[in-house]
Amino acid sequence: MEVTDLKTRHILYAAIFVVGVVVFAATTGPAQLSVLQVFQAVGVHLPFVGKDFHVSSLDEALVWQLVMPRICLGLLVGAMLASAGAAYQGVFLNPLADPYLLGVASGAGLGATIVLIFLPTALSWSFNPLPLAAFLGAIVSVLLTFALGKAAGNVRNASSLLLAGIAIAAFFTAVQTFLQQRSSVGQIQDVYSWILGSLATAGWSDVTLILPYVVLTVLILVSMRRLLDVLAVGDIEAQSFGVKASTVRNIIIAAATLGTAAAVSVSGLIGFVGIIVPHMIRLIAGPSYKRILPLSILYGGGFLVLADYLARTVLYPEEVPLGVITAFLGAPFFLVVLRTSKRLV
Amino acid sequence: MKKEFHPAASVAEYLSKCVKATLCVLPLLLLLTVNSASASVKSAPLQRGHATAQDFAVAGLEAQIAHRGLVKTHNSGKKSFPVTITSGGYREVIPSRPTRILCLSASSTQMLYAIGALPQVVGVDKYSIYPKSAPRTSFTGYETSAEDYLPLHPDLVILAFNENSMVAQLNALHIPVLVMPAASNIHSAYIQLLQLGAATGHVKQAKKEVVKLNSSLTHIALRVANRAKGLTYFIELSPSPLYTATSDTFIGSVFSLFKMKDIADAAGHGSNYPQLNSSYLLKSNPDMVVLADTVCCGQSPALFAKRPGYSVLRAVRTHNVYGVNDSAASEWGPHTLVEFANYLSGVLLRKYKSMRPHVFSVRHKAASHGGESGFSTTKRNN
Amino acid sequence: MKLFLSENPETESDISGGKEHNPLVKIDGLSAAVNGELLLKDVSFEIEKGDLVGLVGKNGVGKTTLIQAFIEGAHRRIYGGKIEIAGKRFPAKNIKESAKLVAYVPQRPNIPKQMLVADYVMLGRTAYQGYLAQSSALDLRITGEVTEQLNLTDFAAHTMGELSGGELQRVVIARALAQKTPFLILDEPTTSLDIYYQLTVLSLLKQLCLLQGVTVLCSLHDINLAAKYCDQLVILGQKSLLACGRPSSVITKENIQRAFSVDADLHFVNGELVVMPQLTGDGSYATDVALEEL
Repeated sequence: MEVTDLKTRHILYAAIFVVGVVVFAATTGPAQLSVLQVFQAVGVHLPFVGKDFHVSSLDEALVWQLVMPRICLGLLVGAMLASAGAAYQGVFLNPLADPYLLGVASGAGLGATIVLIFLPTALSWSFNPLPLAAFLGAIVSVLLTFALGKAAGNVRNASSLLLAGIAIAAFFTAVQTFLQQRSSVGQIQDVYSWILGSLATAGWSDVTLILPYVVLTVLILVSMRRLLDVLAVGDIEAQSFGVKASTVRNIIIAAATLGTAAAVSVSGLIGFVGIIVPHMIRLIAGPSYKRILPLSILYGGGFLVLADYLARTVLYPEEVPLGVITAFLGAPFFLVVLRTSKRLV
Repeated sequence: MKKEFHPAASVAEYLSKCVKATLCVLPLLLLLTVNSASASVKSAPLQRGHATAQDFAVAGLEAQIAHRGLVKTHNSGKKSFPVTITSGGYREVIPSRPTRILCLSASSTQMLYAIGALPQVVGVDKYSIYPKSAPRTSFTGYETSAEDYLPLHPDLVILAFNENSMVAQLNALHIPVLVMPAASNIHSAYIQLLQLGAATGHVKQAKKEVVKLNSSLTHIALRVANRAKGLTYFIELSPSPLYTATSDTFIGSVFSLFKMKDIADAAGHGSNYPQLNSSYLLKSNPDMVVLADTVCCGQSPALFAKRPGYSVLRAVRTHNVYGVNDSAASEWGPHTLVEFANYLSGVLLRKYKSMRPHVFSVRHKAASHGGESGFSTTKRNN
Repeated sequence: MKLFLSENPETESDISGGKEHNPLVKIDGLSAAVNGELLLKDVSFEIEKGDLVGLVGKNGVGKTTLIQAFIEGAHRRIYGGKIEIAGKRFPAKNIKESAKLVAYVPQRPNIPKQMLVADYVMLGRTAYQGYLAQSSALDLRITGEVTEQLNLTDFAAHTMGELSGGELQRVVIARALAQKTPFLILDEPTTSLDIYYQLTVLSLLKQLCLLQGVTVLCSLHDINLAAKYCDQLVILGQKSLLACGRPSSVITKENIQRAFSVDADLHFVNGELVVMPQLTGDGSYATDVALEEL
């Protein structure tokens, strides 16, 4: 009997990819520091190792304060978006589902817009309320989606939830546009640049802010990976296997939404990762979520670090919006994988 | 700060450099203002005196305006009207002296005030905060329909941009409209002043204003002289994403008065307002940072210093980070211009009280990477 | 209509006939309704371990409702009576425990076309697997055994979308077997299969009962196939139990008439019972008369 579980070698390949990308992104960035300098700058912050390293404060700040948090945030956000995308695709049995499906994007966008327009001084507070507002907006819009989905039909039926998500997203986007119309030019630009998504201003505080959410979500999603396969046979059959499909769906959606909202709150909306990465893994490693989900976490993180590396180096010293890179990189690569793969999507 | 500069080598050298600097700054300024004027301008003698040089600058501008056809009067200039103004890619005929001007650009409002055309203005947009006496309305300049402006019965509308096809809408209503887009340097602000003078029947006042403005700026520049020459600066327009302006912008041209160097110039891949990489900011380590995002984004020098990694920046360590009103970067009116140039010169004079002896040396290459004494390494291997 | 009133002694008495009385499944007074409409009324019967039990009756008499009483999600339609499997009350307190008692093969299973056959069979092991654990050696051994048993080993690495109808039916049964439950229920497993696959599936079920002691309840359309393969038949009529017992004792002219409204002759061909619908004088079947009466 063929073992279709995740094998050690899968994890090994993915880990090599992730580590390779991280080392590459950290050492070959535009800072033009030598590999040794980078390792020393990181080493200074590690216990026991760093005692004998001598790094200039500028190099140390470059590596430790700018590059490393950006890489770490890229890993977290990429892992989150890719695994949430895979989870949504499994729950809604729809290959085009992405992490922003149930109104996370529009809710977070509205939350951020409200802060940017009504609390223009908020960014100068010692506590930045923007991530919190985006997070709350995302959660509220998904809760509304659930409420509407339940009112419109059976929440056990995934399609009524999808339609509710579309309605809520349209409504929230309308409110956001209305507010933007009534605001000044500078604020509109702020909102749009936030929505575009970026890791450019990432700091350790962003990393520690979303780390607990990402870890929790990823753990829940990994533990649900088999049940995502079960959902494909429908609710009644799932029940005969001892799986309450509606409960499983709700847990997965709640976890994926929570994690996505956390990621969105610090990085804005980064498209493509949640669709492209799970599909590439599906095409390479097979259709079972037993493999797709854990591998999405690793490859998603690596992919976003790579994309962000390009975002900050391609036109250095200019930045390119990250969403542009993910689409530029993702779409053609996806087409290549699609063409060379025998399996159907 | 004291440690930063080497002590003056000798008084004699110091004085000689002062004189050199004063001599140098005059032609530089003239080149700045008439940089693309005709050849005859460049060969003009400079020793005729200050006022004459300024007049000459205006003459150069006028020659350029005539050459490019930016202002055309009919009847070979005997009458001021009708006049054809070409600006912002639109050519507009103003049939007679306007008496009901609607101005929807804060910078143009400042210019109209400066040339004495304010009495002809019946309305300005809500962002035109200077002068206080301007007849402010609730218009934003982003109105979607020209009908909104009709109750004021304007006979000339001045816009900064053609949003919602407003030019076509106003043309359809037979209301003359001028588009005065953001000036990319002081020179083009002068041209806009002269154009507005021609459009409103204040040609002489406009010329006078250009002369006055140029003289003020020259004065400010002379006061600072070469104190800040070669110092690098960074202008922040928004913190996230990190937008900045190159020296090829209006705010950048103010820094150019003091011969400072914009670190973003290397970044301009076609854009004068590039989004910059934070690592690059750290690497290039500017001497001075100006935050022109204090209003939009609530930034301050303290917040700037708190951002990840920025505490090591030379500008932060030497307290050379300054928060200014956003309008310094977004407006190009004479009032904003002089105010910002004054502010900047004040900062530079305060910061660099004495002429630095090494200003003519290629200080920057040597000092740009951790060379200064203030820049200790965390653990230097001695 | 008088026929319906006639006594039918087989209903309860036949079970204790041959074997030792140790039923694996006990169904006692089962009643079901949905939205106030009665679906099943007071159905009681027992199934011996290792029996292949056929459930027959006209469309709409409650066969599917009875089958679905063994699936926890649909169980809420049941308002009366109780089910006991291997001495345990069904549904169990825990949905996972229920899944270890009954495996279910629906009439039209949802086939995830991209899923690998091996993954699909592994779904049967869900109730035995922890959240973070990989498939255990036992899981692999069991799924390996059932795939081999159902002659599916060659297909293990194929996707479900690549299989034919008959192969799919076997894969679905393999999945149910991987659940390793004492009791297996199948809803119309032979519908939409040609006669060859109908025979294959029923032989397979028979083998499972004989060789592995699995107990099977399946609803069937074809009363002759049911009579040939099943150890016991449950005949439903008018939402209630009509007859229950060995095929030879419950297939009677009266029961056929009552269950299917068809007059039939019973023949023995090579020692096996064959039900032949009666032709009326003008060459049409009895049901045609019933249609005219409507």
